[in-house]
Amino acid sequence: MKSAKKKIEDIKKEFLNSPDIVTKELVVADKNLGLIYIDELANQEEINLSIMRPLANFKGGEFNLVALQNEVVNFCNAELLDVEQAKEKILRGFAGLFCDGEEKVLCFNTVLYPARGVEEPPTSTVLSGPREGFTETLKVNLSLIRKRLPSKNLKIEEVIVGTETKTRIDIVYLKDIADPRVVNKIKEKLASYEIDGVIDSYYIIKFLENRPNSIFRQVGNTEKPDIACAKMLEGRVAIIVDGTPIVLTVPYIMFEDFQSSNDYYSDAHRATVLRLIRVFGLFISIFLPGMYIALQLFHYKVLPLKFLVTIVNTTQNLPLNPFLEIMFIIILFDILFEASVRMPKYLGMAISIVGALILGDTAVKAGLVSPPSVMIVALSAITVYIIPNQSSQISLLRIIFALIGGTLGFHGIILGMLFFMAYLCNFDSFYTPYLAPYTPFIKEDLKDFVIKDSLVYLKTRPKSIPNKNRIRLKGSKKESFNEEVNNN
Amino acid sequence: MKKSITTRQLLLILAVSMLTIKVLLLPNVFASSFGRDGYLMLFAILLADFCVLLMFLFLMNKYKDMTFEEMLEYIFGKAMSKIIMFLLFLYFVVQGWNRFQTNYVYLNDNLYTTLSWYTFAFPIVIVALFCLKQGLNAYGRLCEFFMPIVIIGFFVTIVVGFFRADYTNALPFLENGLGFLRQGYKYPAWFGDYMFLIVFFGKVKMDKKFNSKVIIFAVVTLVLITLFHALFFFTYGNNTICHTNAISDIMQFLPSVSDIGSFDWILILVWDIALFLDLTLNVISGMYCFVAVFTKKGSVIVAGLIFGAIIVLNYLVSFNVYLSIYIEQTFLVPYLIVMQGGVPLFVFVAGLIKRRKENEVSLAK
Repeated sequence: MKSAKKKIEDIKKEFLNSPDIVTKELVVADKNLGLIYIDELANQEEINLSIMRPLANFKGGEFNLVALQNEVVNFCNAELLDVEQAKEKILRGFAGLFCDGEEKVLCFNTVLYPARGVEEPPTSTVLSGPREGFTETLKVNLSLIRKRLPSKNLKIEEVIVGTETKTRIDIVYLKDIADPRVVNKIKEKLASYEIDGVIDSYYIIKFLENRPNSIFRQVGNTEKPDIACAKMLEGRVAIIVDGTPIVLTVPYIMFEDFQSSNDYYSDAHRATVLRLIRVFGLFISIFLPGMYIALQLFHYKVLPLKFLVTIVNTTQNLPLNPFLEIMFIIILFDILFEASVRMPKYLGMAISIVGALILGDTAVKAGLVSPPSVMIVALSAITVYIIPNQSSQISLLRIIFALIGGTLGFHGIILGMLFFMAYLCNFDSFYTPYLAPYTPFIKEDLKDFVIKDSLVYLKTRPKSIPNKNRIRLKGSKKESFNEEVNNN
Repeated sequence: MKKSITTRQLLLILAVSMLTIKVLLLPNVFASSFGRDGYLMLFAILLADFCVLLMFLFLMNKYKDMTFEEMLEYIFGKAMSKIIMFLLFLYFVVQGWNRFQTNYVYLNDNLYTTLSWYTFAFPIVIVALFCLKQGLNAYGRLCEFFMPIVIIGFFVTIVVGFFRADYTNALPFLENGLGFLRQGYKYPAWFGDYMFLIVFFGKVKMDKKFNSKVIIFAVVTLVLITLFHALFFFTYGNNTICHTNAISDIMQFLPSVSDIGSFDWILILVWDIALFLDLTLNVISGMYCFVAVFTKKGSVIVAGLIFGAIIVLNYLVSFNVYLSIYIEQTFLVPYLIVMQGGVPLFVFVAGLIKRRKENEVSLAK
């Protein structure tokens, strides 16, 4: 059997003699010990206090790794593992202790990653409600969920994906609510691929999607633990990928992005109005530029006279036709957007001024584009972000419909809409129809669709999301009202 | 058997078939032929057509879980069933042709200054083929998505028409007696609303009160269409013959609307959706019949062939819409009547006899 020294030398060699691999040799009770860990990942203080000091203070008695684990070192997260398993752990920040004459390795959880604190996610700011957001550390994310769901039914299943990154992915769900078919399908899909590395949850999204080439989202995501928990309470399953603050949720329905967490922390009537505005915003963002082009090129007789005169006055000397004009402005806006996202923060303001004021205003004054076109595209560009999670697909659809509107007019737009809707109508993922509860029509789920009912009426979980337990709220408002009346 | 569509979806598909084509050129055609009795003529034909629905519902209930093709095979045997299905296939090609032409006229008259045939035909064929590729279930959902909007649009027109109509145009009532009913046989191309049901035999998830839901829905729609025709005639009187697109003309010149702009184009766009769904429904039905006769594999290629046939028919009439309407109202009338009335009646009676015989045999045992 190899000595402890030889074993840690072999491992160091296997780890390509990286300078950050720390090895220490010790002699305790006449036995040679070897300690190995990675400098950047392990907590040095913890190693000194909880491993090295107890070993140095060892006074005598039986000495082997089992005794060491149970009696000598004061470390709750220590486990005896095979050498191969130990290597995996060491690469994750554990410290491995080898002992002469022992086959196993005593591994100590000394992991100390550099981690960001819990902050409000920049993509999901809220007016009311919790402001905590997920971080890049899986443990923190799990703790944020556990804090909100201290339930014995909360089940966490671990999957390792990535031959090189060995990324930990946790499938989290409420056992008595989530449909086991959904959980099994997730596991099946994750197991069906072998990839070298999973850097972000986006990699997993593509594994989970039924149609990976589709422009439409098929997996939900959130950066907020309260949203993840609310979705799990509806029967969805959360997928947490180590190293990213984006938590995925399935099944996904198209309408769920129209719902904001604010809707649940504010008055239901207000939420209904906001949802209607979002639906209207979606319509404007996708169709407005295309319709404007179609109106100018094919259907000017549809326009009210006063509006037509305004348009004619502003467009008569333009060098570009309406189609090219709108496309030019759309591309200009997209360039500005890309630049402002990638620019250093302190340049952002300057870009806005250059983009909006100088470029836009000058282009109008120079007679390159007309003010109504700038307004139309600007309105459409703003409304793209009314549903932030779908902004990428909306901006793509906007360009597609502008092209269709410019070539075929309104009839083309209608056909384009029918084309995409037919596609979405045949779009089921994880046993859930994509356009539910509108089509197929599920009456029970309309309470939290465009019109949002008060929480006291949302007694059942959504029928469109497969779940084992439909009842979510017991007791009725009527009963409590009667009680109040009797008391008075 | 996989149940493809829900009862609600079937009802909305029924709305596609019943509503779409009858509120465009037909009021004009009936006003030209029957004057103020046009809506009564329409009501009479719709009632006759309604009998087909009752017959099909009866068969659907008696031969639960059987497709139409299987039912025909069971009643008549393989050869006869194939003949009937082939005749029905031709029927749906003709009806598809009619819908295709109507869609073109509708768009050309209402939305475009001039609409090229090619610009119209190729995109519509591509999108229709794509829709058909998604399957029956997706088509049901597509109707479920769009038809409520179409129906709301239809209600709006009725409400608007109700307040704009000049009811003195209704009188004198039945001035020429009931003689006009004799001429009703000339217009089968606009009817046969329930023929598409053959596709959905054994494929509907039937609700508890399936029959009553379908009957009530059909009766209400039937009454509303008649009301629409009546209101349209009351609005324009003898000038109805000048209005070729009833669904938008019933709203035009409305003061509250014209102050803001021409809003009727929203309805025109909504109806474009309905026309597309109606066209697709006929192609689906044709596809179903073709598959039953020639191949067991339903594919988009069959739908492509149907569209090919429709385009060839258009070439034969040199894209002349009025010539195609003339053909449908003259040469094709007997064939269409046999398909719309004769075949359902024949199948119904044969199905009834077969069931009765079966019952007798089982009682004898």
